[in-house]
Amino acid sequence: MSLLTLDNITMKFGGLTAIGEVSLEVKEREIFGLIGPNGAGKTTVFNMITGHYRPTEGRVLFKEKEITGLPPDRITRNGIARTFQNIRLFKDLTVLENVMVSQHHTIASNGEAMSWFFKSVSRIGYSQKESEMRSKAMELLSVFDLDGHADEKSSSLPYGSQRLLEIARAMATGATLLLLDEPAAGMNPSETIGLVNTIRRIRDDFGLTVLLIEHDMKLVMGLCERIMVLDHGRTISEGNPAFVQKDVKVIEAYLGREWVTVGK
Amino acid sequence: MNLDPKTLLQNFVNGLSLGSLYALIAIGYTMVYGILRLINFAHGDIFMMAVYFAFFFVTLAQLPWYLAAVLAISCAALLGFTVDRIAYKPIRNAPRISALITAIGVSFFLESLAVVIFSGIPRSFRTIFPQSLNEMIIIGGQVEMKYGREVIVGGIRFPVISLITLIVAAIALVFLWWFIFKTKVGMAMRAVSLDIQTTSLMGVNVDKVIGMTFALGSALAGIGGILWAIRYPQVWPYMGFIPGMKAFVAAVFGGIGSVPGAVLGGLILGITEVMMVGIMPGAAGYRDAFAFIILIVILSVKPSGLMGKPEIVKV
Amino acid sequence: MSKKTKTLLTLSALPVIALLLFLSQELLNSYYSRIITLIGIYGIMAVSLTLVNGISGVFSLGHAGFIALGAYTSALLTLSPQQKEMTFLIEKLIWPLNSIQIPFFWATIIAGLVAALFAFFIGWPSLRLTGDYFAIATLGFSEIIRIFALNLNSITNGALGLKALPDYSNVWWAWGWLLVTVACVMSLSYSSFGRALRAIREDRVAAQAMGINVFKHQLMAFVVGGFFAGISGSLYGHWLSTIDPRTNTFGILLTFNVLIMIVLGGLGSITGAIIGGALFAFLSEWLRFLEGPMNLFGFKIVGMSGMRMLVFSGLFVIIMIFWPRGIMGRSEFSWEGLVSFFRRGEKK
Repeated sequence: MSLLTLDNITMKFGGLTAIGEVSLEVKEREIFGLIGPNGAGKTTVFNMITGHYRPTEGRVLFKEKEITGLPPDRITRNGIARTFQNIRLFKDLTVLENVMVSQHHTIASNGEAMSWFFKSVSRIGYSQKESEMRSKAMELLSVFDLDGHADEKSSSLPYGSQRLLEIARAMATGATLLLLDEPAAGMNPSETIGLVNTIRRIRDDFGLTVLLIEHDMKLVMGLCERIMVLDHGRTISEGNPAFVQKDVKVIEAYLGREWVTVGK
Repeated sequence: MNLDPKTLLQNFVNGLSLGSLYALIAIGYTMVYGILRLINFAHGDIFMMAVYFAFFFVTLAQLPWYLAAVLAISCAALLGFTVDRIAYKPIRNAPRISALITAIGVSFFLESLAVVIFSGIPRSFRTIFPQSLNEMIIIGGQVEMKYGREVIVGGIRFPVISLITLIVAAIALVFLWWFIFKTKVGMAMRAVSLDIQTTSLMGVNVDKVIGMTFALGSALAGIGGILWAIRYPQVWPYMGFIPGMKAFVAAVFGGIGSVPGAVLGGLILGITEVMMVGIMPGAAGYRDAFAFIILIVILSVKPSGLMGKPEIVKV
Repeated sequence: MSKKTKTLLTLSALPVIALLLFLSQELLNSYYSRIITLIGIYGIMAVSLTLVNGISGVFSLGHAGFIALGAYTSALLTLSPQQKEMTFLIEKLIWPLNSIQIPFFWATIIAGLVAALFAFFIGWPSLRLTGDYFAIATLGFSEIIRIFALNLNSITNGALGLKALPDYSNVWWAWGWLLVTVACVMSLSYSSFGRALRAIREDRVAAQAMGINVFKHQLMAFVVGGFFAGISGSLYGHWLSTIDPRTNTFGILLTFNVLIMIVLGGLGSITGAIIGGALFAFLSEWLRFLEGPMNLFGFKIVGMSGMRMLVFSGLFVIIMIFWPRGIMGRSEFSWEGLVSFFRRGEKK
């Protein structure tokens, strides 16, 4: 079944059309890649899915229900979580706390919120829930080998680990669809290979679906089952890695027209 | 409710003159905010200091009033520049909340400095500037004989100084338009307001430009202060707080960052404030609250103000 | 250090503090013992503002408004009907306030609730705004409250204010309420809610992306902060025994003073807030000498009133520029921290 559907979405900022009539479908348990030259609008698409921008036209459907224009926190509570192009960890909080924050919405939504509020203040019935959350968070951290750093400030982690922490944090929300924005940015080749294995593993073990933006072609071609290419806000190609790699339009977008005749 | 048309018109005129004072102060707020995204709480206190400067230039230094005024305005500009240099420049890169808190601290510092140096007792400004400025211009009305003299009754009346204020505000606006759009320094200001880092990479001395902005805005506040004190001839250390806040409301109303917006906001605020009191004299005690109520309403309905553009946050 | 040890230490500290407070009332003259009470009250003001400004990262400049609301509410409830009859000269106090008189404890609680209610209605529109705008909006509301208090003759007695409030504020009420405030705020801070608030403070967008309803959480913190501000107002009003809206006592100066306390103590630290409150009270008293005639190297210098404020605001600006962390930074007092502080010099 189609987990995420983008139905002809368009994003206009005043006179500028950042995204024009993009449609895509991500199936359950798929690893889907969104690529394109810089400025193509990939992060904008993410922002439109997560509710940070409201699409000027078109619809976003998750599990066949419309979520277009819902506020970001509601979208996350529905089961979609993301990481950011520029790392946005909670710097002053520890590694463990970063992950536990994502669990907060599971106890703080709607009807339960007031009762949990008073429980927090009075501490009655609170500690069991807290230790549950804690052990779940530690489990998640161990998937990424970060459990040893649980009580360190998140800003003290090396760059690559911070990127992994962002993924762990997103997973802790309980989401079924992960949007990863350039997860391999700044990683060296061996870290990248590790990342590819990790993403595959969490997809298999946790039953997740992954939509990712990347510039690292080795990662994309090696990991993604289907790819869509954007340029200047529009779809120029879509298909499996083998197809997209050879697509003339893609080569043109990345390298320019001259290369089309030169390359094989 | 008092809805007599003649009174309404008189109140409109009064409001216009009050509004142009607000406008002059509001411009300084909006310029600094446009560049630094900082609400310079101390702005209203620079207004106050300018008046004290003028007061003492006349009383202690025995200078003629016009010289004292010019000197006071220059000192205000210098003060604004100095405040930026000493207090705001070191925290240029701190989070905005820190800058805001510091601005409040500077404001209180200036106020208590004034209390310590000038004492907290209000002083009369009446003798400083020539009384001719407070003579009334009367439009309309009829000549009647009262107590053996010819007296004009009715009509619209406002003091000369109000007309001068309006003219000064208009001149300031034109000057600023020329300065910001037709000079190199003005262009630098516009660039800094858009992107500080890139502008400094282009070789512009950003600190100087920011300092100039403060100086310019403070000079205008100084002018506003002196014109205010001529109209309401009393000077005391906390006199800058309420007009400063109202000018800030005016700047937000007009669209913070926009100079014409600040002027428009100031005029509208002045007019509505006076007219509200005119129409409902019983509510006179609430007139200061009125500005704040307008502020809340604007911020709720259209935070970018009349002439502002909504900010788009990039994620 | 085990949790049990820590709890034991904390619980045994309480009677020690109580003993110190008792001694302060017995041994110090009434002037200084009143200062000790004031420190407790300042502590409540500072801790309640820390929850909002420090932990949630929401910059409120309206604290004085909530304190004022608390002061007026409790005063109107503790004054006897006869006193109200005598004080309300411009207009009669409205019913049912004119015939009610309730004990101080309940008056204080109602004061807190009234302030919290106002905080809810003020926070609702204001929290949709970004940082600076929110600050100004709360300042605006605080001023509106002050101006209305100055004019609503039939409720607040307008410019005449309320006088001869019964002297209920003593050390035990002040520090008792301080204990409650600290317990509540700390409990909130060390819970999932506290984590969420801190996350919002660090990165609002990321917090939202992790499923947190930023607005709701900030509103909750704002209302709780307002509640305790109201409590502090009730205590403060009765400590002053007069509420005079013409002076700056409940105006922006008060907000600024509380800001000084929390910045001095460390923005974001509850312990820091209390330390800041205490320091502010001491400095205020100690610096009084600046306002009287001084003897400096044999020269007589005439004291200047307003010197204290000058020193405070100058100090404030200097701290903001050179030492924004304040005394505690964002850390709290902990028994482990205390032990390691004393163990610093030991060899491992």
